[in-house]
Amino acid sequence: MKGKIISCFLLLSLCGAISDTFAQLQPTTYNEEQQQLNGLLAVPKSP
Amino acid sequence: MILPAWMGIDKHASESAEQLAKLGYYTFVADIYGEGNVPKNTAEAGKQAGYYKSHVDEYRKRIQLALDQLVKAGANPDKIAVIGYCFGGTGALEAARANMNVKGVVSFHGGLARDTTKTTSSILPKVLVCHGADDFFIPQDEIISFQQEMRTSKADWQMNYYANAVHSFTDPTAGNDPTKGVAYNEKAAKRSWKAMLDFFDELFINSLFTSNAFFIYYQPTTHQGQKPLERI
Repeated sequence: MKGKIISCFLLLSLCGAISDTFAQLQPTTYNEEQQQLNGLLAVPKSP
Repeated sequence: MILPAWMGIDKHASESAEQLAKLGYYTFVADIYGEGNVPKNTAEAGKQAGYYKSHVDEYRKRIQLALDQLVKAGANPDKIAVIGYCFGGTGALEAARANMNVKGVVSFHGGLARDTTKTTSSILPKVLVCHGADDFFIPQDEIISFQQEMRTSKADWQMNYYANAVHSFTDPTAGNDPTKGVAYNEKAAKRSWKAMLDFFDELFINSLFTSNAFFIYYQPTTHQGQKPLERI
């Protein structure tokens, strides 16, 4: 029983960690002629 | 895609992007001002935002560049919406006025005025405006002109008013004193966010179910004599 509880806890922690990765923002540079623009991209794992 | 308020990419826009990504949307927060031009205070922000409001073509150009980045990142180019806060809300309306390839736009407490040197033409993207009922930064005549513009352009538009809400009502960092004209309003923020998600459902999910490319397959239980797979 104790093992199952620990496994369940680890699984939920993993789910939480994966969920957090969904939220990470990636700085993205692009250009308008000579000027650099600095946007932020957030990509879902399962769109 | 998110167009930030006049201070440039801020915590509010970033957190909105995170929330949308968690819901499964590719999200790109646009940089309108560019490297080295991030405002350090509201005076600089007013100057920067004022420039793009009075040079609408340049604002539109930078919105389109950001849309291109979103598509490059993997977003479906035929299923994009633009949302914006304050100055960004004005930009979202400009995306609609320019008939950019977006399904819809959402303006949260954005300025509604248009460049009157441009002729009003049909607006194809659907429009949702989320407006603080007590936002005195948006004059009544600007609201009336906007609504007339929507009628003239035959836009599919909605405008929600939120009671007791003033400018920046979605931004948790805007303070809590509505007498200053700028304040966060939790109830209005939550209601407008929900209105936006319902709007997205209308834009994206309903079109999925009417698509010829969408089928539902169902696997019947494997009793003897039944077909293994049927399309319904």
